Amino acid sequence: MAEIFKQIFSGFNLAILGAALATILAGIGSAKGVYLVATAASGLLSENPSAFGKCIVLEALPMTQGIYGLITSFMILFKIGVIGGSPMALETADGAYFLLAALPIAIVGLYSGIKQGKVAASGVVLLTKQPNELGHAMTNAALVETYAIFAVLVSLLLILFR
Amino acid sequence: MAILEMRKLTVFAIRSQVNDMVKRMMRFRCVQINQTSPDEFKSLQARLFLCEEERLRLEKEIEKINTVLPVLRKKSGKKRKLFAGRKPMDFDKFLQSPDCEKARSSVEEASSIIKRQAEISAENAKNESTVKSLGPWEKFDLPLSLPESRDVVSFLGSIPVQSSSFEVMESAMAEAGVYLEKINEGDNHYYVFVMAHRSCTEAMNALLSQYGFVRMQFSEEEELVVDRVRKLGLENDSLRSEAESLEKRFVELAENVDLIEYLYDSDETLRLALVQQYKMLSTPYCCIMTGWVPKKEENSISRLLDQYECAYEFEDPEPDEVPPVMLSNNPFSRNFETVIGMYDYPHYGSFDPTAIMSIFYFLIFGLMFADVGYGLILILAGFLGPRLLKPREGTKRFLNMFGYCGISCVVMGILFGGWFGNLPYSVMENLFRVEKPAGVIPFFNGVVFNPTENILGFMLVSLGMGLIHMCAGMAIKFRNIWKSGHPFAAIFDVGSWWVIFAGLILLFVVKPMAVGGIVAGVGAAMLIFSQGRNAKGIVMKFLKGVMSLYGIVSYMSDLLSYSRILALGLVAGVIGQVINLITMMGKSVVGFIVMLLVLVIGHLLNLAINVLGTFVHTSRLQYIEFFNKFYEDGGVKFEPAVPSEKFTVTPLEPAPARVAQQSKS
Repeated sequence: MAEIFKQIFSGFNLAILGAALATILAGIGSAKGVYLVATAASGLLSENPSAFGKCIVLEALPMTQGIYGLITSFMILFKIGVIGGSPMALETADGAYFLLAALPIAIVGLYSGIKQGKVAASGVVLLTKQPNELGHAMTNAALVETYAIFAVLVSLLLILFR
Repeated sequence: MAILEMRKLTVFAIRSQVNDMVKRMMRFRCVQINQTSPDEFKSLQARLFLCEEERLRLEKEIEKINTVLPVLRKKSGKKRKLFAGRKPMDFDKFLQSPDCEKARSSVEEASSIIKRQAEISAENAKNESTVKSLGPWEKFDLPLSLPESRDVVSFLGSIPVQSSSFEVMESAMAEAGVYLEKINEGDNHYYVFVMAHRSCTEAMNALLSQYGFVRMQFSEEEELVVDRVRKLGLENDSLRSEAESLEKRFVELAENVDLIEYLYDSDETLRLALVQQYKMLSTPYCCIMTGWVPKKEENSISRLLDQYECAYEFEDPEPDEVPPVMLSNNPFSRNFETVIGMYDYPHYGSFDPTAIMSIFYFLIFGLMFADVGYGLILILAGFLGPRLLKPREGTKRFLNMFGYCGISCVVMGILFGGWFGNLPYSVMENLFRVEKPAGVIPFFNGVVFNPTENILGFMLVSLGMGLIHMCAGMAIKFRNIWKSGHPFAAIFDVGSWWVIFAGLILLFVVKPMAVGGIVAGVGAAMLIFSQGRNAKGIVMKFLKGVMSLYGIVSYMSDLLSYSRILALGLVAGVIGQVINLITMMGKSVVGFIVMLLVLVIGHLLNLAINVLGTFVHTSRLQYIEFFNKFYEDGGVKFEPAVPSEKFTVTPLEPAPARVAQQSKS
């Protein structure tokens, strides 16, 4: 039993878990965020199909969390040699390091992706009444993203400095 | 680099000339016509100037063009080319030219054709459904509208097949003295003809309802079914051929689609001119117009107005009036005015930061997206796009802004080593098996350093950029306070912070840390000494002064916000590297082709997502971190009366010949 436990929670697997979590959680955040904006956008498009370009901009805003998660995963996979090398054996502590390094973008990406989606969706509602307010709608959504940026910055710093 | 000074224009013009005057004014694009309030000219008993009939007529015309135009465009086979651009057109000349008549009659004809086509297809459908309903009765050799008779009743109708076999029904009916004839069978129904003497009606009705008979009436069918169906067929054929010839004519008319687009813009311009006139007041013979004109356009507008019998006057705005804001900047900075417009226009009379902001926008955009390859694409799109598309002035400037930002990306890309991520190294390493290519040709690794290798270095560059950016914002605040007549307030409110910043930097740079500490202390003392100056009592003054030191928190958080330059720069670079890494995995010939595709699409995607991200976050750094230091928003954008330019471009000023002609008459 202890042996199986040890095999499952090997350093290598912990690092993979970190990479997986970064993509999964940040991806969920973005998926939910984009979903919120896109449904709101369909409402606007039913009235005014020419607003599609503006909608795309707002829909793309909450996409970034997923991308940050993806990059973090790639960096981990690169560091532990899954991409572009041979997978290396890792001590449990080393693997745990990568897992922890992935947590900032995983957790903040999940939360901020959803919340940014909500802000951007309300931005779409703003556009239905004030078609020229794209700038304000975008800036509002960008404020939420700040924290995802900080999170991915910390995650990347932790991984790159290793 | 300024907010243009505005002058208030008041014109008293002859009513019959107003329309022409407004149309000419629209060409100048520098008069914003205001809603004139009747209260302002109470003594004249002026009313709103209404021209309802003309407006309704134009709206009907435009409506007609709007329904016809997309159909014609589709039929013309001349797809609107992506790079066609808009053609120059003078609406006055066009409206008097034979082309205009041609366009108008085409619209007339096309819209009647569309109407007729709808009628034809409705008629066709109706005929076809009639033929279908007559179908089962084709073998019946009497007119379907059965004649009335004194002694005999007769019906046509259907009986469901499942109620009973026909023979059984027939014999049962015959017993009751009723004649039943099967005309046709189909769709699970017998189509039957029933005839009986009036005396048998009751028995017949009972039987028929037992079988589930449904009566069908064809009171209008007085001919034999065969003849009728043939006639309907002929009618349909002739309708169809009419539709075909209409369609042919329609395609011919579609040749004029360009002219009809001209007509749209001309009519819409006339309508807009009327809309402008709705804002004016009128007395029986005279119209009163008020509006704003930029001071530098005063001369050209007076020259225009001199050609009409009107009295006019330019005045400086009253203190309680808020003129609209029009920005005027050098050819580089004016491309960045959109960024200001997306936030909010600066208050009239305040400082226009476009020029200073444009420099920082240029630099920060480049730092965030430091890549030669992506930068070149941006330059191409930003400068070539407007040439090909010939868009409106605002769109052109917006695209040009990205073109300039592209230049910055290229320069920063050379400095910090971004070439589509790390494409040169990736190719050398994976295709040509060069070991450690960064050591072989260090140029591609960045002339200064590569952020992925020296993250802290790039963090310092980002924050340094931020510090300069913030200080520039504070410098504008310094200027604003100084100009408002409070030089000491400027020195203590803004200058003290600069002293503190200098001290904090010295703390890290100069060896005995005491030097920095003393400088920062002096700054802090300046704040404590000055910031409580409006409070009452020495204790409150001191406390308020100390409290002001808390401002350091907001400056720190602003400064750290600039770390997004590093983060977004890393993200763009790393995604590029990952794309390169993945594509270089293909080894065979097929793999090579797939690899090229993945490479191109991947980099384009990366470009798209990062241009958006960089644009949004560079703007945000201006709005939140830069503008909050000094910006006075709440300006109302200057919206001059302009001609409609959906498909065409109206020349900026009327042709000289027309001016001469106009002044003669």
